[in-house]
Amino acid sequence: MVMIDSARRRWRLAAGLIVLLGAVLVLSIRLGSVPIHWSELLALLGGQKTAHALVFMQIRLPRVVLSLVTGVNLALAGLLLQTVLKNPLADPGIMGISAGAAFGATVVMLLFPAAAAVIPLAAFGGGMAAFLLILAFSWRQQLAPIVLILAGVAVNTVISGGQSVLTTLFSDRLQGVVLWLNGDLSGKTWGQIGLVFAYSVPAYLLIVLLLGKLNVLSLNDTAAASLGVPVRFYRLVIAAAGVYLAAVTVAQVGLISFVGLIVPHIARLLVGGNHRVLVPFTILVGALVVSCGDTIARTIVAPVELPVGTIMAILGGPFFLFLLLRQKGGSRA
Amino acid sequence: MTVALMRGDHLHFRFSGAAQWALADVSVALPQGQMTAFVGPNGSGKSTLLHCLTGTWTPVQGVVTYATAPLSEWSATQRAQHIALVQQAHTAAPLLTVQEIVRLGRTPFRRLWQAWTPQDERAVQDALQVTGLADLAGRSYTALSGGQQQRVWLALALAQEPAVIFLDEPTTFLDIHYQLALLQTLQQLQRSRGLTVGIILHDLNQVLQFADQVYCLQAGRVVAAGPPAAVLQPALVQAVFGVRAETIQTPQQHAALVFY
Repeated sequence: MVMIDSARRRWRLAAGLIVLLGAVLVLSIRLGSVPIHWSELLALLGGQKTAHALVFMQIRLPRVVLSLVTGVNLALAGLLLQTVLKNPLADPGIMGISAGAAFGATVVMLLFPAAAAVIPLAAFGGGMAAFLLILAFSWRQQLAPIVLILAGVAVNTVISGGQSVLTTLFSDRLQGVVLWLNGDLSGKTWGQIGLVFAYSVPAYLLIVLLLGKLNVLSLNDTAAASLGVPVRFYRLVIAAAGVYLAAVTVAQVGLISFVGLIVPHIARLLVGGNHRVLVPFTILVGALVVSCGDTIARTIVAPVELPVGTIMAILGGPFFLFLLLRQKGGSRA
Repeated sequence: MTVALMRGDHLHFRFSGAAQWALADVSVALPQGQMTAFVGPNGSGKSTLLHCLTGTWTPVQGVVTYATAPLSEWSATQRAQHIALVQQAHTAAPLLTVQEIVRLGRTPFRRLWQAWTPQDERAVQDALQVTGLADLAGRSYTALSGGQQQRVWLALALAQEPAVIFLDEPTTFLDIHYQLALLQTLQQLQRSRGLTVGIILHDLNQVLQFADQVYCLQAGRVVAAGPPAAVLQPALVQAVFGVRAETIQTPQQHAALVFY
């Protein structure tokens, strides 16, 4: 199993990931339709005004920062949902949160195109509304993980059906919708990025506060309850934090699949299931995966930009399968 | 006379929507420092009784008392500081090491982000030693055998430093070697530390060998209670389990049952 069991090896792995992330970020800033050469990049980092200072400050850097925040948020959302719902397939996508956000955004884009400014708000509202629906259906069953998951799948199906009706009826206005549905990190201002980050901070703080409880919640419900932990309360709070992080992020960047589902698994395969270690590694891998995916998406067939979610699914799926195969073979990192 | 550390008096429990009582007027007492076994056919209410006694389920009627206080007056954390539960099987296998799981036994004693104390460490190391897991502390739980995994859950419960430990069919998936090792460990703890043990067992000969008293349940009611050798007679076995049996004496002067 790819399990790094000693603290020293974990630190080495973390250092390796940080170096890799740094390299990807530098590449991401340098590459694009207007390349920034090493000398110019060093000058820019030194605070000098160069020919591409505007591209650096207003286009590349915001995009890189947004890719980091997006990766962190979606990966954490998936990890939290998978932990408290005890299901490896739980993520904002399968739970209907992404579908709710997409539906909210699509309603505005197709029915109220003049109100484009409220798209993030509508997406956030749609995601949270989907979660509230799931809670309503699961409440009487004491928020049992399997009921939450099934309610999520059902809500997902219904909302996706509504989405299909909308896109069929307004098929002539779909260009913006398709772009949003595939995830788009381009053209975001520092203000928008600051908004995502500011809204994310309360969820980050909550995760830090509840870090010690996450391991207990990975046990079965009876075992956790016998340790004096109010399982339903923590399940609700932590799932809400995950959904909130996903909704805040999807509201700004659209739908980006794969990250919430696969990144926590990659992190688990690397360092095991202790959340005190797993959470930091999920953050690192999430940031790395999205920044890497976005760099590839906008450079591989430049000047055309591919949807970042598509790139990550194409590259991340096989990588995950590779890790799984290594696990079966019993090899160690 | 041995004082009962835990009592359940006139307990009634019914699952929502069910017509039958899962427990009907069940009264039990667990003497301090003794091993009390619960036996009975499948569906007789043994696990339901254990959940009521640990406080994870609330009886419809009746009172569970720990020491002198009703358990219902205690918070979940307070209960977990005195009473531990070892389940039959854990469906979710956590991707944690042995030590990481056993450390979770200190949860009832720790506030959010409270520092790990020497007392916490002592309790964990002691639980690992007693269960023979000290050498496996760094191993992944999923890499252990079934017997070792069951010992991990026992160690977690012992890390709670409980006065009472309940075990729900802890020997079900173990081979005979691990079954006896587990019961011997419990017996040692009971004798050396005064641990009070409540255990559901299917093997009546293990009850005869290890338990101090036994409650026999059938259809949610206690049909017999007392010292195992007095309770587990062939007539009762025939009436409750529908199996013919004979009592023999082992060379160690234990009563044992032969079924046929």
